[in-house]
Amino acid sequence: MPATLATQVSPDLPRPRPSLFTRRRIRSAVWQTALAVALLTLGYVAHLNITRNLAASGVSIDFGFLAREAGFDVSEQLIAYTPKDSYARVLLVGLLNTLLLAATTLVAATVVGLMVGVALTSRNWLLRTLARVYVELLRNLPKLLVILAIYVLMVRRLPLVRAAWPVPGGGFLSNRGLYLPWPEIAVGGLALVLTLAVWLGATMVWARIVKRRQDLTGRRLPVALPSLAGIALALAALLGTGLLHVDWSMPVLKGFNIVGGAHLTVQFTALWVSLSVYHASQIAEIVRGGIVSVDRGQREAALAQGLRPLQILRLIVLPQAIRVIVPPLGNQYLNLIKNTSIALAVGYSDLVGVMNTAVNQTFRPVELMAVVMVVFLAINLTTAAALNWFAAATRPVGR
Amino acid sequence: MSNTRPRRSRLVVAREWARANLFDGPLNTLATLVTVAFLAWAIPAMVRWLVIDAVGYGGDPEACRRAGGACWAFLRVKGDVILTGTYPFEERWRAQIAAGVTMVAVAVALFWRGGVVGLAGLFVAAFVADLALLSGGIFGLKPVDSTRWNGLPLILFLSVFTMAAALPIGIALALARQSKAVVVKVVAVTWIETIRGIPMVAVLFAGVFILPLLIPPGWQFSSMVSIFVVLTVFHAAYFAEDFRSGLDDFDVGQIEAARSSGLGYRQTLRLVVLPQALRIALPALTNSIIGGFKDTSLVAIVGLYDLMATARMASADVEWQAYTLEGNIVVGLFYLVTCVAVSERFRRMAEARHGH
Repeated sequence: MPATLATQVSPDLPRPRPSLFTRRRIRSAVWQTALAVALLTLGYVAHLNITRNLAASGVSIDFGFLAREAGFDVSEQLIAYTPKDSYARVLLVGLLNTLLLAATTLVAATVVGLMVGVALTSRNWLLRTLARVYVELLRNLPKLLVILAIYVLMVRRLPLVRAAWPVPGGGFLSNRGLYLPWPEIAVGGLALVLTLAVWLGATMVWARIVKRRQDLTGRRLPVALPSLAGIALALAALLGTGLLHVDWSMPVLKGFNIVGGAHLTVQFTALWVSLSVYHASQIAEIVRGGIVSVDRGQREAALAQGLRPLQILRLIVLPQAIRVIVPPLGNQYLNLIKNTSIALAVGYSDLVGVMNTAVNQTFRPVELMAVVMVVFLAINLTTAAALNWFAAATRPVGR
Repeated sequence: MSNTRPRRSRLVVAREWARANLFDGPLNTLATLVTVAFLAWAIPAMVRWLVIDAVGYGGDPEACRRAGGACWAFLRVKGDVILTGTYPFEERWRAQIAAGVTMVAVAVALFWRGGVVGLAGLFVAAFVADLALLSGGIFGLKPVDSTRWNGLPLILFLSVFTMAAALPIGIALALARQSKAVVVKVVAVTWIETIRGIPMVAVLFAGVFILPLLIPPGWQFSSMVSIFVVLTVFHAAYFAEDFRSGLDDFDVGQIEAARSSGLGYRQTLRLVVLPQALRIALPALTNSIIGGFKDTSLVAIVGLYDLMATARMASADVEWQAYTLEGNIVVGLFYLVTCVAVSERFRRMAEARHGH
């Protein structure tokens, strides 16, 4: 037996090593060339087909139409827009709507997700179980269902405009959406910006001084309280001296409509609420994973040193959990941005929705899909770069 | 005495448990009180709407108009519409059997102990059976246009078979991404990153708008085929990324060991790398599969009728318009049960394999 085995793997079997090596490289090169040629041919055939198919309906690939009049209206816009504006403009309107929805959802989902994630690790059985039910429910339902259900509920169950529910602080909630008071800066926009910049700088300098003092003496001076007091005083001074004048535009019920203030349409509100709730459940699970990754012993040690539970969370647990949390959270943010394209389901004019209408009007799917793809890839790359920077910034140093 | 002792001790245990878990410190007590207040407000309202004020499944639809709660009679009257949508009414048994075939195939696959070839055969057989049942035109079955494949059979057909087709492609893509051959690698990376960079809705639109332009003029295919193709392309990219995490965590020493014990490239891949990498990637794959199943509902946005679209269709008549929510609740329950069952099964599989 050992003899046959030895003959099988006999070392002095003739092995043309260098020639095998070159042969393998040549073979690989041949295969790759063949693949490249096949792909190029396929691409060429696809191109031919596209041209011929488009020619059959009398168009050719040409981005010039972007300058032409769009002629259709959108559900809402952040910049001035009328149907007389160009396709390029309406796509920009759609992009801004997408970004608005993504940004507001990102903030709300993060805040709710963080709270629910902490609740998932709570020692309080009732709170923990409730959070678990919420997470499991949302994780196992399609987001389209969540959005449609919330949208239907809002349209059906909320009162008509003339019987709108008042929202604390002077707003209204009706089945046409949410109306909120909105500050309009009449005088002193520049003064406000300058004050905020000075405040931000001063807070950062103060935080650094506090940190240095703590390193030297071990005594920690308050940061948040003086900073908030400072900005409150500064704003009061600005308003008092008349350097800054803010008119609050209040929503008022007039006949069958509400005028003034900021109007969030029912589509936007439903999308914002449901996407936030949906992604919060995913973020909560990520946050929980980060928190449990921090060694229990550290919490006990901190407790033994006299830190309070919230202090332990803020000073010991979260700074360490954040390193585990950030990479999957980044992925979640990218998903969230892409998921805003579901807006079409309730008729909110996001980028994809506008693209869809434009395609149906112009029959220019290739150009419009290209625009949407480039925009989304650019958003993704920017977000990914920002997240990488953040991940690098929160990485532990020299330990 | 002997009666009262266990009762008292249980009470003590309960009190101690409550103190440790609910009233441990002021913050915790506050949390408990807030939670209890929320539940005390939410649960009675829900129970009233779902049960007390509701009209039951067997109830009179007329009673729904007067009732303040849910109308479950809606499901009895419109259940067929929610399940199969516009599929010809007298032929709907075919759509129901097709849905059943897909579900049985998935159930068998989840408990499969045989080889990969058998598993592939199972899915191919189920696919062919579904296609024959849904489209007809053979065995004397009346032909049914694919635009009328709606509801449950549609989402099961699209989600299960596109993902079954995407899994091997995804594995190939993940391997191609690690290939030393530049052309292969570039193709794989472009595929994976482009698809992962754009929303699924945009991918579906690409299927509806762009794919028909790519084929020679005069050739026709339905949007069902386009959607099937782009969903497969879409899932493959995500599976490839999950599978890459499996390959990344894989010990390279094992490949060297396999090669030096005389296994060729394919044997090493099939016997050593793939089984272990799949095991490592299983949790990530589970997430993608569940997500892919749920997101198949997005085909509603490009005009196919998924379960939510049929639920809406069911409440399209003026007299049934108020009951969309009841339809949505049932659809939600279906997703809840299937998703929990499938992910639980995958979790068991991952644990069982871990034990070895």
